[in-house]
Amino acid sequence: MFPVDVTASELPPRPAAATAVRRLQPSRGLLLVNWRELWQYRELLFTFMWRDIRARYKQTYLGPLWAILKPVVSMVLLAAVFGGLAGFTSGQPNVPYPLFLYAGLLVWSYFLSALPGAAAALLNNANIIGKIYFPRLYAPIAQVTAPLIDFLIAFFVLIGLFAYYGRWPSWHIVFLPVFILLAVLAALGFGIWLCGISVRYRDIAFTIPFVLQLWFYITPVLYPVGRLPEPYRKLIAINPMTAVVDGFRWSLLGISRPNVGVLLASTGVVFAVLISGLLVFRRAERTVVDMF
Amino acid sequence: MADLAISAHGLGKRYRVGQVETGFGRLSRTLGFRKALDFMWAIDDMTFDIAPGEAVALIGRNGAGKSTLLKVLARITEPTKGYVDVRGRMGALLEIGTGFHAQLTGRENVYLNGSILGMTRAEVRRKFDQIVEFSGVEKHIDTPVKWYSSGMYVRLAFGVAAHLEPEILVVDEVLAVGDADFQRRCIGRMSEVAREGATVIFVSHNLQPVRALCERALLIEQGRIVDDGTTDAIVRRYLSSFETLDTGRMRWDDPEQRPGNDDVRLVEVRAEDETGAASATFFSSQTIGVVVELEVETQDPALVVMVDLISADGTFVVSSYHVDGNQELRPGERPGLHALRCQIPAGLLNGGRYIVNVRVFAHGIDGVIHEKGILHFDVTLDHGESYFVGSHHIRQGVIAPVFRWDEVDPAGVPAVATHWSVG
Repeated sequence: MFPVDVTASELPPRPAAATAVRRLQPSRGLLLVNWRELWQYRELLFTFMWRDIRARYKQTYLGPLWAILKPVVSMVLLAAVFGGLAGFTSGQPNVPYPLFLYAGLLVWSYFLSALPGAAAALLNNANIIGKIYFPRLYAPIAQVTAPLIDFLIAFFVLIGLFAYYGRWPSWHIVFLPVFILLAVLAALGFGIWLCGISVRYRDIAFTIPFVLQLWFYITPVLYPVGRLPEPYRKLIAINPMTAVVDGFRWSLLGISRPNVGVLLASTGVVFAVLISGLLVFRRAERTVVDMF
Repeated sequence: MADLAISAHGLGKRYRVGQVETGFGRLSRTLGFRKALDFMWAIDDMTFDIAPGEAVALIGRNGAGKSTLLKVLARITEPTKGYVDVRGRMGALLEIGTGFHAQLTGRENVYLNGSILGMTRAEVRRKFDQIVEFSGVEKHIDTPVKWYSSGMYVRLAFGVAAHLEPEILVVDEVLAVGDADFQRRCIGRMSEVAREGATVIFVSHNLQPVRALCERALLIEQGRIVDDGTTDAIVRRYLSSFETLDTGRMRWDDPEQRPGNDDVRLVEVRAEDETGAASATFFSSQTIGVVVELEVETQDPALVVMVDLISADGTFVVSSYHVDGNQELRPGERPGLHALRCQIPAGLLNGGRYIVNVRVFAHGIDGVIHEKGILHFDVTLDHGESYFVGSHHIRQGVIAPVFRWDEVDPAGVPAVATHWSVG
């Protein structure tokens, strides 16, 4: 050992509280989540969310109105094309297609903005990650929670639509938070998977918009699941967004109760993706600094 | 053992060479490992203890492994082998303004930066006024930081960092920016933190604050700790390691070896006399030219070249920006080879040895080249006439310019004839 400077011992001792020794060493094996540390750093989540929300609408003229504008304009356009020209319906005589469509678009546009954000979380925060330690998991978590604010704003339009069509939500609405949570977990699960891969393969950034475009069509946003021929209904159950969109709509409109089997399958897929994603992400976060 | 602040045992960090081009590619090329090995140890087999309240400097050349060690200590990257025990809350300052967001106001950034650095919102709120006062940006605190001058930006960022209350503070070359007064305040604040009992680990190219702040230093060469002792002893050993370069000329003939990046690279640095001959010995009555040859690849009108002189005891004597001396000089405007000469006027330097550092900033701010100890030259004092020049031909003080002296009328006393008036 090297000699320790004597002046150190002459200083008044620091309070011994909270001076736990942390051992920094090569980590081995599988890593899951360090919950205690996440809790210690909890304020950081709000800081990141708040940064993203504030920064997003700075220097925009319409500000948070964009959160309404995007789903509303998409809804009007898609309702005109698919509802008007192609003759799509909600599959239920008492549910107008625009309402059906908007409810689906609402939760889908959340996914659309949350997933790419989470997938890019490590690379976009490279400047911070290379300079300071924090639980890296908060980068993608902030990316999937911040768009909830936009979701909330756009939700008010849905309330307006309910009023316009003179409808009341059914009692199923108590299940709404469950499906929103499922949407968040799905976005996080797929997001951290892609995040982990994109550290090594930057191709991911190019693939995501394309994949999301295709994903939109295999998710029952434009059409009810009931419109699908029977064999495809089982197939589409693997897509967790089916349960999210369908369940979300069921809680609001009280139509086409999702098949319990489909729900369980989707939820299972979400959790499988989330847990394996955590492993991939934790591996990636160990090496990410060395890859920049 | 139990109450050490930091205790490292056989700490090593290995990088894969070749796959990642930036940073380590260059390091490995410099070390000549590039083609031979797939891996290289940026730091290797480091064992040391640091007691609470100690201020320790890491000293070594570029690429020696100082920054990698700091990154491991700050948990930014994991070691590949060995371990280090860290006791207490760690505040790492590897780059100033980490996490500042250009679109957000100064106030918002103080909170953002504070919580990224590990403060709670309540702590930031408590220190907010102090932080703003320290940085002197009161009037602009609600303006987005993208409108800040670089000085304001750095002051605010350091203000936040300086008011962290870590038990261990790790600071890398963050003081390279800012004016002298600000740097002094930063150093002052850091020594305050150290006096309050925090452990400080400090890396700076500027050896003067290192000596002021740290009583102990570790000398790092090629990823290993080669010496551990008082800062003065380590600085002396470090500076003497440059003594082989005594031709007054350093040239990188192999383009692969040239310091810099794809935009600009250093080709040659030399000290020359009035005739343009490279030399390592001068008289103080001579004009000394320091010539920096650059190869500009990418156009950058705001490219700034800087020459620093360090005296043999590590004192930062002077640093000169090329734009200070000649605003018209825009080496970055035309890609190609450029040679800039910095003239050190005759009759300025004291006798002794001077070490030359060269820095190049892209876009006026990004330090792309920072080569320390490229060369040195010796000056023999021969200007001015004074009975007080001692036998070593050296005057007291860092520099030795001859100032003009006059006798003037004493204040408040009516002028009297100081000459005999004749007839």
